[in-house]
Amino acid sequence: MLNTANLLILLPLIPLLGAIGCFCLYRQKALAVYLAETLMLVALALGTIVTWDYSRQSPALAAAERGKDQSFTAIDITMGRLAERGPVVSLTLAIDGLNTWLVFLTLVVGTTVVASGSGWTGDKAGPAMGLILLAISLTILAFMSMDMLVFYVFFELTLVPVFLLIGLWGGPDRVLASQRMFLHTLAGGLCTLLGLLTVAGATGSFAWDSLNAHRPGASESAIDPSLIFLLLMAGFIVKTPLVPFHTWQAIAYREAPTPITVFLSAVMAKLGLYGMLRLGVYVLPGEMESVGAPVLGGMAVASIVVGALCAFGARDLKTLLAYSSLSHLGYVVLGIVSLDQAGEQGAIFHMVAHGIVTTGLLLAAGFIEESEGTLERSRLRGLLAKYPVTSGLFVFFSLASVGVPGLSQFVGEFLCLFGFFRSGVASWLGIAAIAGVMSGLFLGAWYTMTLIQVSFSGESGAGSVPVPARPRQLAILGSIAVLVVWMGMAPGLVLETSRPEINKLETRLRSLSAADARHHAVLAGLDRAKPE
Amino acid sequence: MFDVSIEGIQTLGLLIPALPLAGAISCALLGCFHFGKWAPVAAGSGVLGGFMTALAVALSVSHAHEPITGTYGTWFSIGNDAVGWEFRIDALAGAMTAMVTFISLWIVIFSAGYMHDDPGEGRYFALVSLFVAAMAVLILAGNLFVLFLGWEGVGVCSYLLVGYWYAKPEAAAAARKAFLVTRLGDIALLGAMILLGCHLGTLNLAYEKVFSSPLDPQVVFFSLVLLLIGAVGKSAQFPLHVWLPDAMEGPTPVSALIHAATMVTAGVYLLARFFPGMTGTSMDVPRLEAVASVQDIAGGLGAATAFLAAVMAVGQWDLKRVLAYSTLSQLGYMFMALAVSGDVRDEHTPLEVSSMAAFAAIFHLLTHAFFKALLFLSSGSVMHAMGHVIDMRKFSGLAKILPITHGCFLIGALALAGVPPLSGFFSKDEILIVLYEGGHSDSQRSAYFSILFWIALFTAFLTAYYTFRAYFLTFQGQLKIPREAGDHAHESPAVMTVPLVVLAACALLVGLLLGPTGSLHHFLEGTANWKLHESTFQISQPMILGTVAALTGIGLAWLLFSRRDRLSKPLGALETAAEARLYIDDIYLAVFVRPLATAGRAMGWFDRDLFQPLVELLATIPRMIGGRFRSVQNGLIQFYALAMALGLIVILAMFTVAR
Repeated sequence: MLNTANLLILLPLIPLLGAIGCFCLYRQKALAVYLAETLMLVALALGTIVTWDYSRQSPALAAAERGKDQSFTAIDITMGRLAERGPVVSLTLAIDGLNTWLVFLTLVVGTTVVASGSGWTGDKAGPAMGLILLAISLTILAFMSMDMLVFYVFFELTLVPVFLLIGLWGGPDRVLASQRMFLHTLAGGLCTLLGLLTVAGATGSFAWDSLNAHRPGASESAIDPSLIFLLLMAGFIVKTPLVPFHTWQAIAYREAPTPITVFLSAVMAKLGLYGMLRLGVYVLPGEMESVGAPVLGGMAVASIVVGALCAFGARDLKTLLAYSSLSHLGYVVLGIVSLDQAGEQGAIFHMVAHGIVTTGLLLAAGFIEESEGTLERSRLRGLLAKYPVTSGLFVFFSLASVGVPGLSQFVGEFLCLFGFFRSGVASWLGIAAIAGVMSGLFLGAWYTMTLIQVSFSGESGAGSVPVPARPRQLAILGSIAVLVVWMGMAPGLVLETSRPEINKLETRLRSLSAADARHHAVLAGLDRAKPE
Repeated sequence: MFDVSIEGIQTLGLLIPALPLAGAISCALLGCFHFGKWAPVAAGSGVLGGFMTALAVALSVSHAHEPITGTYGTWFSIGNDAVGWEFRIDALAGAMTAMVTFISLWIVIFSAGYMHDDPGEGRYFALVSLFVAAMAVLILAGNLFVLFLGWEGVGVCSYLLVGYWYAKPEAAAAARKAFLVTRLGDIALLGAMILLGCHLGTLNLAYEKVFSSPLDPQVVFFSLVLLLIGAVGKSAQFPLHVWLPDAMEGPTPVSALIHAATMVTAGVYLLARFFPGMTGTSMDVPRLEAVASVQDIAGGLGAATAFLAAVMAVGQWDLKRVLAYSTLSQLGYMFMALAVSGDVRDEHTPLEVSSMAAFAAIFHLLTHAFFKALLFLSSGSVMHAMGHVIDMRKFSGLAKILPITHGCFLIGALALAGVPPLSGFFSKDEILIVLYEGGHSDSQRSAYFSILFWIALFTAFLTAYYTFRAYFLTFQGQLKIPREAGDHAHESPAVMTVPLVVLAACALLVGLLLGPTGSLHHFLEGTANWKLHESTFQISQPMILGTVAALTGIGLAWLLFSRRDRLSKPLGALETAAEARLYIDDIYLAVFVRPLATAGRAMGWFDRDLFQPLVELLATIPRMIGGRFRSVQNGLIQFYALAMALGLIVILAMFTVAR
């Protein structure tokens, strides 16, 4: 049988080659779009095979003895040292329990974004498609990097194509939007780089694995480990983002062409969360527990409440969905800071689920925008009567996003909350945090249902005939809807994939000296869930 | 009666929701391909199949004293904790699913006439079938997760069906209100799941496990309070009752099915499972006390709802709203019954007392489903004839032109009022007896139960009064027909009257067949975690008081509305307040709804117009310091990108060189 690991390198490579191809086809608009679509479909097909193969083996690997390599490695090249006896940098690309489904998500979202139409690019479809494919490729590379520094480089590089796409094809305020996004994320990113260099200086390597084995910062470095932790997290907090570092988000999401908003919200926000998980939970679990829980947890609760309130007050649909993203991703952060098995697995699941649902919502909004010419809420009325199919699917995705069980978001949201409460982080943060988190569940339904009532219900206006969805739009939204139901009714495959890696976390937590009672509680929680 | 193997029952149990689900999918497909007119057939066959299997299951589990657990796979798992697709089939679940599918079947048939030629027929019948499937899942659930799936499933179907005519602004507003108010309860239910999960240390929240695990009394108390809030939201009890009257904006068969007979009783069903279940066979006083205090709260809320809703019904002019408030009131009755808790000193164990209370509530739930569905469908038939006018001031004397509808409505009204020997009489009587006996027991709560008994009695009087007020206004007096009806106001076609007659027969007979014969008591003895003690039917003091209250109410309505000025407000200011729903909706609007919307808008404004510019301002400080580098900051996007790319190339080159 074909070893699927050999296909892995194609996942970032195909979009990258496609990007080059699209740049070369600068003047051949139709051909460039065709090339981009074909290559993304191929990449998605390969990605599905690899993801499927890995996910099915993952539970089996979990049962096998621990310490065995549980990842598929695509490429492993040692690049060199940063200084004469400095830490080693290596270009290692692999998928493991944490990133497999995020790579898959990137491919799904990327394909839908490319396939959703190129009307917004004007006569420059070639470069626009090229930049999108470049962003997809770089994101996949970032997710697959097993070396901190390489991860960081790709993480920052993804900004370039997106920045250009917003700046060149965005709405009226595109320059302000792109600059704001760029400066904010870069400022955060530089803090992260500083943190990375400090950590690597202490351990002598940038590889995740070697970092897992050491406890950096404790003895070797004179700098306070909690400070290093906060530096490391800064870039991810801004990228995700969390309140109060979210001020770039609403305008960027609003001004970006809708397919780019999809990419920002569904995939690039997950890069920030993935960074928190990989660097925060795995490299510095002790600090994640002592500093991360109050700081990140507090920011997450604030994001949930502030995001939901702002979503209600938002003036256009894309801004509303931006704030909604801010609010929903707060739950993922709660799962991450819980250091609980249910919370961590739920967080990864919720990242994928949110990515899928938000793609559906934003693309449906984009299709409505194409016909309506605007997404201003004051001008959207009676959409269900005008666009029955597209709007109907929007309502369906909205129900998924408020967490109706049987659809994708429920399991992730529940597990994040469950981990948050079981680990004791909730009671540690206090009653205000609990009230905020639970009221967020209501507020989410509140702004969503208000949107549907005001903009989607009602008369379509005299003489207007319902506009059917185009076959391509229907195919895209329909496949996303199928994914939403599949993830809601049979979440096992996605959820189980991360189990081996989360079990490693257990070992890691055990190796740390457990000083306070809460830590014991965490271990007790993992004990209960431990496979026999 | 029926001899089916355990595996057979498990398979049949799965079919109860599966067949209506298949019907729902077929309806959706038929709707998509413009064969919507065939949707009633698909929905009807799915629900009929569900009814047949439910009946087979009910008859075969009635004598099994152990519940039959069917596990159909794993939903999701974390470590060793698996949340299974688990059903638990026992007598109560069998009786409930049989009732739900039976009523659904007749409502689907009625809808075939009522919704004839509606452009969204496919969507309508798909949602109704999906609702039946979700309701069956809710009833058959073996753990809290599967329960929650059904619970939210019926909620979503209700939301989509209330807003079925989405072009109507009132319908859209009512749908949002229904979703959001019940959402408050759903979050509490989710909270209960998290609380129980954290304290049991597992995600496996099967009922058996929850009931049998030793739990701290405080955890028992708080988890039951959260479950109660969930039930209060779903069953529209005070103070979360405001969504139900508005939900009448949906098509009338939907009001009959979801907002009278089935979904709104889910809260009662949940508590009828959990109060006896959590009481258990233990004699551990702190735990019993914890459960009993939650039952007290349930009873208090039930009494408040039963009484206030009855008062509000007195002042309504919209026939469907009268029925909606009466639904609230009757559900309050069931909550009151659930309040009765035992005492260790009693001759009956606490479990027996709780089980009898739950039995009374379930009996009333079953009979109420029949006569309330009947009343709603009759009012639908009235609406059908009156050109969708439902204001009782605009029509009267309809007995002459709608003879079948009139007869059916009268039977439903007599049953609702509790006149012997109709079905409502026996079940209401059961509740009165439970409360009366609670009031005369040795329990320290006996005074409380006595108060509940007298509230229930007074509510019975009000119920009879407002029901017959509506009856006299609609069917008696001079014939008056609104303009909207045109000149062809006539009795509904057979496809609508046959369901009416069938349900009327049930409303007449079900109580008599199930109550005094003891057959329902005998049937439900097999319910898991219940323990019913022997009881025989006899004429008792509460029964006589209840009958007197009902007849007084009917008599008063006859005096006031059959002859005098028909649109008078005999009760004056009270009636004006009742018509305005006792101003509760207005208070909520002023205290919660508007401030929250203002907060949302203010937050949006603050974030957009104040906070972001403030951040910008901070950002200008370093810019001023770095004024000398201003030439680098030329605002050209391409330049920034180039600079970035070059910088990264330099970094990458450094590695390679250093190597």
